[in-house]
Amino acid sequence: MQARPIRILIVDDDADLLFLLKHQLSMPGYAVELCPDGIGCIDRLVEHQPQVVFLDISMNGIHGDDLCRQIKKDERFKDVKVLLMSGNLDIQHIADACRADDFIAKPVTPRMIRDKITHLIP
Amino acid sequence: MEIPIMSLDITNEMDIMLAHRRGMQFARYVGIGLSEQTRFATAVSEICRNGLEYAVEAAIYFSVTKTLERCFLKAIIKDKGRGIADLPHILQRRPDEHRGRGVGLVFARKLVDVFQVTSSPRGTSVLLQMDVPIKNAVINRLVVQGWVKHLQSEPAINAYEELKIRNTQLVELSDQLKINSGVVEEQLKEIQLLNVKLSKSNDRMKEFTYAISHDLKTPLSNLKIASEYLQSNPQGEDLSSYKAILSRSVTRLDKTIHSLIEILDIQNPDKHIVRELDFAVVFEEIREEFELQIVESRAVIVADFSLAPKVHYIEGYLQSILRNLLSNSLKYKDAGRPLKIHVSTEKAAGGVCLSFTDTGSGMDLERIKERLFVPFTRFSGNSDGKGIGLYLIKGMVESNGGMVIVESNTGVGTTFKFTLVPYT
Repeated sequence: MQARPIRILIVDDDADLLFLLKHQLSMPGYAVELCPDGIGCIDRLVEHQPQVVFLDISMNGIHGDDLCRQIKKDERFKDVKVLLMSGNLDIQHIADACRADDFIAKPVTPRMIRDKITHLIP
Repeated sequence: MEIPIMSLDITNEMDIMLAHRRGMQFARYVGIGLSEQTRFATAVSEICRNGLEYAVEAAIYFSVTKTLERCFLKAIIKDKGRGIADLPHILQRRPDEHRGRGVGLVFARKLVDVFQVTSSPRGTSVLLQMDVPIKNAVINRLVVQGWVKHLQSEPAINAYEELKIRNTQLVELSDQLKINSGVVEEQLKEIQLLNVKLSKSNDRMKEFTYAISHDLKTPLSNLKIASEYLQSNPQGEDLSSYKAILSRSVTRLDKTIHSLIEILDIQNPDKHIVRELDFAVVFEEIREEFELQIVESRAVIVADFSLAPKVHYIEGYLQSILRNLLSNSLKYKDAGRPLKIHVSTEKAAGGVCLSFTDTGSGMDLERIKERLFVPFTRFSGNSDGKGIGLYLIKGMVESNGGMVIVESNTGVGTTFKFTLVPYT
């Protein structure tokens, strides 16, 4: 029996990065959804019920770390793994402060995303 | 090497005065400063008074001790009294807790560099020692003999004159201390102001560093992913999106680097030409740069600089401020309303207040106020802007002690108020 694909949501206001990640992560085993800003993120979480969410910190509008706090407080998303993405050198500190499950330092690559998913969803 | 200078028996009040005077003189001869001379001489008179009032056969011995590296002026006051009972306890008490001999001891200890006291039922010996600046210490037995010979030719001490001299010295010292205290206070204030400035500067640098790193890493990340994929030579795919991403990433990097150059250029002190600027003239020059956009947007611009027509400022800065504000107003106009721009100046505390109001789309300041002046931040889908304009002009204004205030409402418009502090 084919295992269900791991559902991923990537939230970033960089349209090019979203395209590249979706294109290169869309393979058997992954179902990738995109969200171009933080405002629609919660609705996408409800609709697609991802297992892993990658959040860019510096987005216009709501920031990734604020979104992370919202997700972590919401009972509906208690099993969702949240990772922050950023080029900020303080990313570990920011991730700890908002109780993210992990973080990725930018520049990210599809391989880094796959490695993190494997680590978080064994 | 110990060089005795002179000794004095302390048998009456005049001897205390003389010991004080000699203390001042010897301290002056060895090159100690006025405040240290007074401290030493005061300590001498305190201990001599103790010897006179509470003991017998008190005497003071002045000497100079020299080593290769150090030099000291010493006064040893000895007596043959009954000693000081409970000496350790006396030395530990506060000055206000003392009576009698204890007061003089504790007070004198604070005045000198080295203070030692030994006491027994056979008498007490107190050492008072001051460091002598070694470069001043051209002191040998011959020199000391010269001091003593000089002092022997002095007229006899006159109590009234001696008190008057001491009083004058204390007043001079007190005045000097007041001046020094004022100077120190001024310097402390200056240090505090510099600290605040430095702290703000550090925060700006952190903010800037983060922003630039974000704006460089994002397109670089995309370039890396796209180019690696293309290098893997995928077959049978439409790669036009990848090529477009490569091109856009390079353009973004190019823009960011140009912005960096612009920022560095603005900070170049060689470009900081300060002169008296006429607001109307400078604004008209900037307005001409945007003539086409003004006509296309049908913007109505009213400029009134009558209340404060001029300012002594860096020309490049004022041009930048007006250019950025006008550019933003034209860029972020509300499509459903006519654009009106009002620019004016008025005198303000410390300088000139420049106000720039428009009836553009306005901003939700509650949501974005913390990032409004962060470099490389954009608040709309309009990607023409580099996101550094407000960051730059805030830095320009604040670098000379000025301030920026923003008021804005979505659907109403925006007002910027800059307090420009003139350059001297």
